[in-house]
Amino acid sequence: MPGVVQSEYKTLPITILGVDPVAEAQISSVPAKLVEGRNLNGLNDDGVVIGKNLAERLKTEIGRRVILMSQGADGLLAQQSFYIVGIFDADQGFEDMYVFTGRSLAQQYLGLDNQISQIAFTVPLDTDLPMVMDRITAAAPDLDSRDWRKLSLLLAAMDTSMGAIIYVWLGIMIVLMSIGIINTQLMAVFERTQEFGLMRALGLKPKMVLMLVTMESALLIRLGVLVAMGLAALTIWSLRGGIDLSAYAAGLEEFQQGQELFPVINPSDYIIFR
Amino acid sequence: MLNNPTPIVTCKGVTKIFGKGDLEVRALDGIDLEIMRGDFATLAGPSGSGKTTLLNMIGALDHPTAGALSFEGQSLNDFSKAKLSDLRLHKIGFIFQAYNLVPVLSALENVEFVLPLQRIPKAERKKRATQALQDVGLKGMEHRRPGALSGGQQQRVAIARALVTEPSIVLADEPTANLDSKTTAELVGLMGRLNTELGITFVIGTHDPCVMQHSKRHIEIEDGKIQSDIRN
Ligand SMILES: Nc1ncnc2c1ncn2[C@@H]1O[C@H](COP(=O)(O)OP(=O)(O)OP(=O)(O)O)[C@@H](O)[C@H]1O
Ligand SMILES: [Mg+2]
Repeated sequence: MPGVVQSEYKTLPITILGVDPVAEAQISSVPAKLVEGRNLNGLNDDGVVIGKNLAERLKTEIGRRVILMSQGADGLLAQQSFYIVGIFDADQGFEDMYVFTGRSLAQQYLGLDNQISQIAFTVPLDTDLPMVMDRITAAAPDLDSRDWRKLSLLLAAMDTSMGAIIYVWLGIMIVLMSIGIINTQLMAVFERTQEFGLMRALGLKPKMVLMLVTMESALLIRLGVLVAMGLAALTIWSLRGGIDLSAYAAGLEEFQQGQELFPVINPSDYIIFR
Repeated sequence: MLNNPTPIVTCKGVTKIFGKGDLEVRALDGIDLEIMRGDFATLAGPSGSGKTTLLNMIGALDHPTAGALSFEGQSLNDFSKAKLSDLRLHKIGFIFQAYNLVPVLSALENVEFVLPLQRIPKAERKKRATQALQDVGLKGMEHRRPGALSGGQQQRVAIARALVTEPSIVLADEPTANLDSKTTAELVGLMGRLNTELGITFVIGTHDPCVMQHSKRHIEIEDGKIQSDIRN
């Protein structure tokens, strides 16, 4: 719900979110980012949790009061004062935009009875999303249900184009690597023409020399793949804490995307090589 | 010379022409030659006279442009590549001037190298290779790589490798060109003994008078033609 927040010093535009703190903890990263005070403890919690930057701009702090104002269900101005119970530290844009309070209390102050505007579900990564969407739509045909691709067109587009870009990159890498490997192999073979000539003179058939070279290359490639897989696993492991992109990507959080990238490797990625 | 010599290699009118048209080089020009079992022959002549080319023909490493070659009575003209490989494997030992050995293999492994192709059992291979290295005076150096051996020692390994397959004939192209006179004398003495004691046939292309002294048959070649062929 769009509204404003007012302290003794300042009035700033924000979006008020009335949440169910128990459910919220499962789908949102905000509760984990609390740096001061406490999180909301129930539907009826009459405190608010605000962002660190917002608190600084309002020149207020935990235990002080702020007034939230917005348009109520009846079209009139609704306002009520709340105590600040918690402060979270996300990225600046997000901190400035959202103020959280208990859902029941927000409904009450806005005159909304029991109405809610949004139910969010988080599903495990490997869920069959269309199937889940079908079930949700079937369960609540009157409601507007959308998956994240529809909710955040930008994010969905990014996801799709990232996928494509990764394949283009992979393609370029593979071409470059192939050139490198072919070059190395050619050098290795040409450098050894004398050796192969000697082997032919000793009575090896051309096929056998070819087999020898092929076997050597196969051995080298197998070794290379093993080492590379080890290094990849090591890289992923050393980045298991996530790659912090906040220096480059302040604002990503507005798309409900974290500023940390978690590299993941599937065991199945290794299997092609066998 | 043996009492009843049989020819191992027979050349009849062997001619080899490299290049075409104006660039044509007549490296061999109608060579008639018989190498007998038990021969210890040296092949001499000025540079470019065709020594290497002739040895390559005898060793089935190259085809003549014209003429006929036969090995132990079999004509080589209609041998396939694979059959020629087999012939080299079983009947012919080679010693080159340089680059005789596979650099990453030890002396013993180099000598053993072709034995698996002859389907000789593993234990037998090792025994034979060790014995061959001992015969050429390299006992105790079995596990050195070529890089850790002197030029003379490397040539000894090459001789051991040429002999270990029990070939009918050993062809050597300037085997002593990179060696000092003392080492050359040792090596030629070694080949001479192998010839008299084991009856192995040698044909050695060389410029070296020291090698020619030891030979029982001396062939002079010039401009691809045999000038003289003298037994002593
Ligand atoms: N692959 C080749 N292509 C073209 N010409 C060649 C080739 N091999 C040899 N010749 C030519 O054939 C002739 C005989 O060469 P060959 O190597 O048999 O001489 P050689 O008697 O062994 O000489 P050297 O004592 O210098 O080793 C030379 O004129 C040489 O230039
Ligand atoms: Mg030569």
